[in-house]
Amino acid sequence: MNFLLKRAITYLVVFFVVLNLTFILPRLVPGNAAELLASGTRVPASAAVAIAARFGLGQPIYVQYVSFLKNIFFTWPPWLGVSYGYFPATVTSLFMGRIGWSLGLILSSFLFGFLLIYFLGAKSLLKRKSKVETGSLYASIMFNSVPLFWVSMVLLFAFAIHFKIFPLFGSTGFSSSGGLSYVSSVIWHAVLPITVLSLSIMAEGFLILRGSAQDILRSNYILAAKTRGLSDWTISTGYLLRNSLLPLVSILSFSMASLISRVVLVEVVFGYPGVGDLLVDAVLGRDYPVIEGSFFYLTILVVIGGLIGDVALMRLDPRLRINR
Amino acid sequence: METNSLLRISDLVVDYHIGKSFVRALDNVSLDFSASGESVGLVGESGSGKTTFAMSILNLIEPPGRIVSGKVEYKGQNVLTMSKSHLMKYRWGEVSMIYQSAMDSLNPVKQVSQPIIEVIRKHKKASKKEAKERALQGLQDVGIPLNRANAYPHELSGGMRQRVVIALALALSPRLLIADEPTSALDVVTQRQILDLIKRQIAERGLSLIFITHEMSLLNGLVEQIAVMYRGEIVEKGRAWEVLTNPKHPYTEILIASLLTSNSKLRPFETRVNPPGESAAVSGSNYCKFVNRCKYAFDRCRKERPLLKETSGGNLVACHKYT
Amino acid sequence: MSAKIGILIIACVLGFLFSAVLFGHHSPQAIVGPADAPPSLKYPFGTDYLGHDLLSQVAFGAFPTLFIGLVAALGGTSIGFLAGLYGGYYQRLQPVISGAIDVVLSFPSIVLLILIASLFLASNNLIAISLVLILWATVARGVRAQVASLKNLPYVDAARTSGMSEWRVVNRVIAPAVAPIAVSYFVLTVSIGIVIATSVEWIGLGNVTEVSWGSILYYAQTYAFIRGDWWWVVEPGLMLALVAIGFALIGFAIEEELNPRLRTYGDKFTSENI
Repeated sequence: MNFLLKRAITYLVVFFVVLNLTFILPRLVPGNAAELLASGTRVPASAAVAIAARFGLGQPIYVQYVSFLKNIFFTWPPWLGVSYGYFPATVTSLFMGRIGWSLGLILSSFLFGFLLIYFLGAKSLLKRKSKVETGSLYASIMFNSVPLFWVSMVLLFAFAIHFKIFPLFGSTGFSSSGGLSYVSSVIWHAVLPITVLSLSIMAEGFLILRGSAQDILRSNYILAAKTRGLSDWTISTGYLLRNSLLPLVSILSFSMASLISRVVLVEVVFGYPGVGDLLVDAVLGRDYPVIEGSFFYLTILVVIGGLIGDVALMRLDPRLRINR
Repeated sequence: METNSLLRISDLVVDYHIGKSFVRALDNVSLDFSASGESVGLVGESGSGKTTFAMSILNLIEPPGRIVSGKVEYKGQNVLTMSKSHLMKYRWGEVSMIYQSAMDSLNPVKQVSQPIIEVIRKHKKASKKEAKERALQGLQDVGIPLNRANAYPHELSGGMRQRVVIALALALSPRLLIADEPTSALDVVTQRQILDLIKRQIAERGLSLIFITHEMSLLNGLVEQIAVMYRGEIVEKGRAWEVLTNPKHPYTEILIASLLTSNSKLRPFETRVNPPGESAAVSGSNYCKFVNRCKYAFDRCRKERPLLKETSGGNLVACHKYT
Repeated sequence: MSAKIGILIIACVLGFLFSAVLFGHHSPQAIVGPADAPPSLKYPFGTDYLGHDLLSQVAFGAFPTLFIGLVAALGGTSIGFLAGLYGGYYQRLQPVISGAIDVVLSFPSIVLLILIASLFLASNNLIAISLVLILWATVARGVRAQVASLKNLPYVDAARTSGMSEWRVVNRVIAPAVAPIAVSYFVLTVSIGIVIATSVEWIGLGNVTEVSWGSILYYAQTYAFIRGDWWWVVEPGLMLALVAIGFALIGFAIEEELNPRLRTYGDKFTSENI
């Protein structure tokens, strides 16, 4: 319980910081409010005034802060502003509309990445200095350092343009019409992004796993297990991995953060209609409300991921449970 | 070739490589165990090779250690050249081990009954239910009540953990039990309890025992034979009582004297403190390794390595005093 | 071993680029040849959609990118080192700094950079400074862990009890012991820094008029696919990838050297194990 409490406090702080950043930043940038009123794009002047009023612009700061908080905590869905580019859609609706696709990528690449880490770890970590181990190690270092967006671009060029196997962009094709063809179209569009993301997760995770495994390998219970004539596989999974994976789970919240960064880049390259794509779109189009709102929601996603990771850790590591 | 010895170790040489040089952990060690429940105590300080010896019996010397030469024959079969499947059956099925530090030897994320169940299922192909029953029974035999069988290692006291380790070692009813300093990490009272437990189980099951320790006093009444190791060699071997009351090798004398009982031959202040850095064995020698600490040392000791020879009283001693 | 490969890679890449800069005939900004020309003897890296010589672009573009990376790494490592050192040693600072580290690391870094770069005027300096704000946390985390493990070692205790003030113990005893790890972190953050910086520029948030690897890729992202100019995409990214991998290998090799637990042999041997 104590452990979970400490983590929860960290997340609260993170949330608090994000919350206030989302309030402060737009008001810090001089052009922001003015831009809203003078943008001359799709926002009609009357609506602009109404929005400004809802934002509380022109009123004292603390009043603005109160209405800001009200809009987030006491309205459902939370109101974070209206998009300039997709007017009159609210930021929240835009984000929620696209989160599905991003979560699809995130969850599936997490799954595949984890499976890869697990099996590579089980096969290679017990034996020191084997070819599999060195191979996985260097592959991981390499894949961890290369720019993800570039790899995506190269793969896109290779497989979508040159070999014409995978589709060029989007998450579904135009001609799909529900049912099986829709599903297969979704899968086909997702292959490249998921591949890139999974490999990247695997690379980062494997390096960390290897680090903790080296420590664990020196402990006596691994040797003790060998004295009992247990198979390499049993020792690898039940003893080595079971213990080495724990530190990996504990950094899940940080991993979520870097994973979201990566998803953003990958979505842009593949034109995948998730929140990352939304974010970058907004950046290029100076759609400030969307930018700030996305940042807010994405960080919340990170926090949720972290909490899940910490709960999982508590369940997996009996030493963390204090049941006196 | 079937012999009537249960376990015969012949001229075992094991080296550990560090960087470019190496250390000879076992220097031509031989030991013979006959078939019926014999027990031997193995005594020596850290670095003498005791644990390496135990590990060799199970063929578990890992890099940077290397078995250079020698044989370990269990019921006539050389453990060091056995096939992998045979080896897996041999380990734990025939020879098992009680570890020194139970906390380090048990998987911290598994309940204490788990490794026992695991080993039973692996070796005997029992169902989950059967294995669990046998495991719980085994735990009860060593004094762990049913309601503690699902505890995790860190939730148990040191003594309880050691009992788990013992139950684990006995789970497959092996023929030979190796106890590697099983009581070093325990307080005196618990030590006595654990020793009694081991004695009882050995007697009840008719097991052979190798009891490794650096404390000779524990061996009294526990084992029939005592072998004394120094820097990778067995320097004295014989019946327990003989060795304890009539030590022949100078090193054994020091060990006995440090027990400070009333019938030791040496006064405590006559023993020499171990020069620093000399406990680990060094590579092959043609002199007596004990020469720097020996109060009886003479010329021959520096030039020739003493071999184990029988002396009056039945002990085998490796010392030039007796040849 | 890895270090040698890493150094080799970087040396090759940089050597290649430097010679391109010194001996190159073309200015990166000038339109010199046919548009969309694949690599050839005349234009070893080909040309882009307007006819710029890509070799010159990639060669000159290396500097802003590497510069940002190095500066950010220096800043990040310095701050991170100090934070980890004092945060790890002094009990009262511990929760504050650890908390700060955790909080910083919980933000998606690129998203944060995007946020900052889009709200304020995007420039190389801004990217560098923001990078420092992100990178210090990673360094601090590692340094703090190292300090924590060293803090209670006998020889540190000995220094304390011999009358050294805490201040001196931290600076004279612990800091030098942790410094080598900081070096490996420096190298690693260079690797991370140039990649993140390029990613931000590639989105379009950097200075797109200045030639850097990121800006080349920015234009490539928009035009290369349609025009089939694969070399335009491959080359700058490949240079970046090689340099990043090179630094990562060096950093890893240093870490491995310093941290015996990461070695594959030789640490199980102690006299107690015999």
